[in-house]
Amino acid sequence: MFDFSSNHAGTNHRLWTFFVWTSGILVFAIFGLIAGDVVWRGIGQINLTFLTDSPTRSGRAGGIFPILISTLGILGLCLGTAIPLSLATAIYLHEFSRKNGASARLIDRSLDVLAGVPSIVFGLFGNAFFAVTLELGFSLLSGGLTLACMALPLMIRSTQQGLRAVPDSFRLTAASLGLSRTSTIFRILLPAALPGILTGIILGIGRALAETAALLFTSGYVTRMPESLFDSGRTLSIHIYDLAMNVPGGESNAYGTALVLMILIVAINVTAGLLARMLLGRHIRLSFHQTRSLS
Amino acid sequence: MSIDRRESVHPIFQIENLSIAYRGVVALAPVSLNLRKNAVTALIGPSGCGKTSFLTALNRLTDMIPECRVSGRIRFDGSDLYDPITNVLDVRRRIGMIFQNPTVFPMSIQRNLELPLEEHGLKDRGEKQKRVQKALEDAALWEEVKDRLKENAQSLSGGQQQRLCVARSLILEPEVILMDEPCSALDPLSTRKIEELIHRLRGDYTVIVVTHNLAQARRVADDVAFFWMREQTGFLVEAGSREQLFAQPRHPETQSYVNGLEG
Repeated sequence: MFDFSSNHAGTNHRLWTFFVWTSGILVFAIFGLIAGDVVWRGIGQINLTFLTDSPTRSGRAGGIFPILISTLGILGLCLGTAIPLSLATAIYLHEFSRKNGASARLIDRSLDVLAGVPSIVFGLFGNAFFAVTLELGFSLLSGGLTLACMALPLMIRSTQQGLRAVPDSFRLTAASLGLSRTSTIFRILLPAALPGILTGIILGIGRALAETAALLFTSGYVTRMPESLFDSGRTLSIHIYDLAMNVPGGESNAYGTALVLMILIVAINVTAGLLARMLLGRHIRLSFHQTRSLS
Repeated sequence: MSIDRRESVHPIFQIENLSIAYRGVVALAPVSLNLRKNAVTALIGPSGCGKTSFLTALNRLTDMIPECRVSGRIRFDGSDLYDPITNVLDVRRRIGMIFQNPTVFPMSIQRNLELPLEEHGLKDRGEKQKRVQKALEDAALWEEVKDRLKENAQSLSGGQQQRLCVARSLILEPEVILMDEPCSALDPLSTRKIEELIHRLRGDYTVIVVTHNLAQARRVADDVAFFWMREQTGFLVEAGSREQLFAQPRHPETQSYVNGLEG
């Protein structure tokens, strides 16, 4: 038996308890301070007209409606491009390519490099390639496609991890039932990998909504309502940056916008969680635990 | 049952010089063997003697294993199984397989059964319903799950999951069912249920079962094939009816194995 009552062990034990608790409280305090600050200073700004009006006087007054629309447009474009591409790449890497084959290694390395590239470099690339070479100009399209490039490595990696978590016995069993490769992927592997896929999408959304640097070069920062995907538009993050840095007296609306952004991110995460639950039923976590412990 | 009668019956598998290698290392030395239609054949022998490799070659699941090479010839119901024009998906519908660890998909009991049906072209709801019930009845699972078909299949016990796997094979109306140590992950009660199931399948289906359990082979098999290994390579020692193989084995290895002296 361990003697917890001995003086030495007691001191040690108390020290560790103190350390662990302090760390926990510290982490929560940092989150609480930031969130509290934004909510405290932003809540007064938010009302229906803030969400439905256009900004006036460079954003000092008025609302954020066109900015909200531009943000959702860019996000939609980013996800619409990145999700199919990342699924296809992850399926190729994990289900079709030979392990440690030349093509798989090349793609894997490229992803690692891509994941480490600073966003400002993505911005430069997006500007040169989408805006100039493809002649898309400063537009939601340029911005959304640039963000897709940034989100791709995150989403491919998570999908790969999701597929890796699917036991091989699923693949063998599916084959033994005469299921084709396509059915196996779409009806068994992808549904089973959905937790990983959703994690990737949420990470991708987070990265896309947080981005400012890359978008300054690609989607631009005009505050008016975009009329098509070829129009320039400003996202919430850029709006916050601009109001806080370039517009004296824009601070209160910057906080209002920040609160909207935070609520948006929380709402997307909760929706994704609910969606997963609806699609899979509530057993998925449990069942994965079971299959892992069997093998 | 005499040897002559055995050979007069039309074999469903005619295997000639079947040999299997992984990464160039021979795991199973050439085997020639006929397997009788609608009989239960048990494959026995120590671990690593190629029984499972042999079994997976029969439904071409070996195709799924990278760097696995199968040579020789297998005739299934008269036609060459490894002919390039053979429709593998159809072969696997006709030859079901049960694995050592029950693998049910993380979806409802009903979906587990409907999925393979839909894959093989059955869309009619009423017909699907009928086949689901029939398969579950045949697998002796209907009474236990009839009120919870919509529940996740992974909430079933291990023994129930294995019977669901049997039902999922039966629902495709196969001719052959391959079983790879179907009871080794199960408790004795569930084992008995699976063995009873094998008894009921006899006569209507060809069952080929790999087992480490000699008592089980004695209980369920009509025919027995005994595998042994030498220097990492498995080979077939002898095959015959259960009575002959257990009572009058021709080879000394068989004799010592079935008497529990070796392996």
